Amino acid sequence: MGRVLLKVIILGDSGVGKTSLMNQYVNKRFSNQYKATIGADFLTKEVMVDDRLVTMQLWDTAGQERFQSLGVAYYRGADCCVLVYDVNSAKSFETLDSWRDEFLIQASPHDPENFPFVVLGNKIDVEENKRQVTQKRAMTWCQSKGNIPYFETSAKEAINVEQAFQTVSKNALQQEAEEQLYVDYPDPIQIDRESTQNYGCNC
Amino acid sequence: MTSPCSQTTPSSPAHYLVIPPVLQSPPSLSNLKDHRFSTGNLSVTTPGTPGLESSASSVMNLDLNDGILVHEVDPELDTTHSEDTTAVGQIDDVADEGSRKNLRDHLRRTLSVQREKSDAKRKNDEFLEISFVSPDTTLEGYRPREYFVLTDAGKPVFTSRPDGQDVENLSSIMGIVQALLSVFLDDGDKLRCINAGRLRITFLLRSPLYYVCASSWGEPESVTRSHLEYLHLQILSIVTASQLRRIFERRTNFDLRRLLDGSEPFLFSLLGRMELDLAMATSSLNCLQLDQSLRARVAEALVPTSKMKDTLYIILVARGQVITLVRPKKHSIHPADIHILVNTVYSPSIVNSPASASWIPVCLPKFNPAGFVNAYITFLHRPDTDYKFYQRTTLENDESADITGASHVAENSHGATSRHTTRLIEDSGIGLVCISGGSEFETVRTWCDIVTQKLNDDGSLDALARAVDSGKTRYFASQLGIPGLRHFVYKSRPHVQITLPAFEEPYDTLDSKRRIVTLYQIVHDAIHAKSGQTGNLKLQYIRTEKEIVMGWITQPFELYVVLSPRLPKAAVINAANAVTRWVKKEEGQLFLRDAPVF
Repeated sequence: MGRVLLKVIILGDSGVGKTSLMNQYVNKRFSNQYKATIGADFLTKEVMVDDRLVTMQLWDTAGQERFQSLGVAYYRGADCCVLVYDVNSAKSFETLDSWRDEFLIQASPHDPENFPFVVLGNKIDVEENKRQVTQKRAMTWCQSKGNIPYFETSAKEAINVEQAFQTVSKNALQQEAEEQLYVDYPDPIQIDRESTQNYGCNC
Repeated sequence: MTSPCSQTTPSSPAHYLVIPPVLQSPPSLSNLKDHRFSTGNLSVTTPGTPGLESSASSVMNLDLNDGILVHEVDPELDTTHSEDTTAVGQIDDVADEGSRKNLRDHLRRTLSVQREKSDAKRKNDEFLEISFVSPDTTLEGYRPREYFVLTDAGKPVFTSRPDGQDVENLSSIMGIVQALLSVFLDDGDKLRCINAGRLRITFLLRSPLYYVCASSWGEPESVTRSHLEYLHLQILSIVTASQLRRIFERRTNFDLRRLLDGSEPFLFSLLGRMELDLAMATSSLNCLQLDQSLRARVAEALVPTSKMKDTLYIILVARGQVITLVRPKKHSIHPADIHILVNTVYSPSIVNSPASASWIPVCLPKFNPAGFVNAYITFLHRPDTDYKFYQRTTLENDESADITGASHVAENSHGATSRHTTRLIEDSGIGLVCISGGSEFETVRTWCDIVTQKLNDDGSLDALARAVDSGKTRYFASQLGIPGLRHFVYKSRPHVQITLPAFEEPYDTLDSKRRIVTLYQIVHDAIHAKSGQTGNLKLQYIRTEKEIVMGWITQPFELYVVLSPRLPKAAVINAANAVTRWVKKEEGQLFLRDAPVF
């Protein structure tokens, strides 16, 4: 059997650093230039999770209002959702709620209560006095949403990025694997010879 | 968003098939009756059109004076059920959310730029398209078609690429396909294919699965589409449609490979089979050519006893072809189900199994996609080692001898192992297949043993084996003694069966077979207007530098003939008539008729 593919969706307001985080994680690169993502983009990365080699497919979505609704097709079958905000922007933190809702509505996972999210507070490299969201506030929110794992990151200085995505892949794999063993075996069908079924192969 | 560097034609199916200008039918022969068949994939002939049988006698109603074939085609004969024909290209601009529209527009812009470019280029490309049929274009040969199956979440299910190759690239392909299809789906639209120069990427959406084929063979879109449809049916035969639906209702991120693990050989052998199988291409059955009385005698022995309550079909096969098929009075079998079943029976894991019989659950998707029936499969006759040796030598000396076009796993370019063994057993192995809805394995086994004994005792099994081994179950076009005739495919429409000679010189190499099969497919597609052509032609005549290919559809039959390119038109008509006369004469042994029902 081929390698497991984990589908990860990254959501958050425009400019919080979703693309940069992904780039840092996958390509170990950071660029100061801001280039808005149009629609969606994805990167893949091979990772070891619990001694298993898996392929992570990271979907970077556009944070701009005009692209916000990408539709059900993109979100379908996601194994983990990463919510990103900018610790220096209170607004980007406050919209996490609606990003989470948007995801749950669009992806409609079978068990929304236990669907794995990971929250990243990005841009902690910026000077302290610009910070608008405290760690405590963020952690309280994460706890209230069912103990979502929380990381404070800097895509620019590669702080905590690796660790955060390790948790992402681990939780994604767990979500992917659970319950999958339970596959029911359909009953053989009853053959009703008397009911007419004709296809024209009158041989 | 990674944009496809290609030209998409999501909403105008008429673009798909470019019939090169040189291929027009000469006026004196053409009869452009505008019978509109619905376009689609697997065309399913509905039975019971009254008068079909009786009109078979008017086959020869060919007016040679002006060369026009006068048969009317009953448009109801070919009804297709393909959801693809609906809602293709419907773009609901009004209902769109602005954001989605934006994304869509962006994609459209990217694509239309590409389209303009390729339109400009098209002038040159036309030469390419034409030269597909001309001899020197096969320079690059026939690159294996690539197939991908993924879930609608973008998770890989199957790929025709050899194991472990390009894993990273593969997950990108799956992602791109899912993203592309999603953009259109979110607008209530479906992407059918992308044309990029010679390469065509065909998509088939059978939620929760997406099917993709990339091919540069120059075949009509309907051909790759039907390949994907068969691939879907084969997957359903393993997991059933209802189980598939239930699983994905519960978990949209399900990795289907867990369920399909170990069944890749079925899919690979199907892909190999589809490449040259003209019975699959014409949605019909190609039974084994056999002496009529022997076939009847064997069939009588296969009628189940009243104790076998849940028996659905009993099928005897050899060389991957059906010898006879016994069925309940009120059930007929869909050709696609036979093909899926035969492919399953001849998959290496079954045909090479050291066990005396296999008992496997299989879903016959056209019969009932919701559940399994049980298939008892046993090979009654296997060549002994001496025979194998003999077979090996003949095969190596005479490549063409093993091909009937309809029945082989042999030339599978997808890396099926132990190909030689498969081919050998397939060549003379005679398989008995009993499809039962019940699970009373012992009853079925006992009955099959009795049947085998009976066939052994009365010598029919021996007679069958001799016929198969001595090559009497196939014929060559040259045997017909028709000047200029190289090959043909004749489909009896009331029987939903085809007959065709084995390929011989100059169609004895793999590439030349691929080439001629593709030409047949082009003509078949045009005659049935399967690619959105405005009207279906009753007669299509193609002349390449190497041959003349003519397709002709009438009420009782379809005929496709390949002739020497220098033949004058009158001789072409004569040859076509001579073939139909010959088939009529030999009908008894070419087609499966009057098989017993119970």
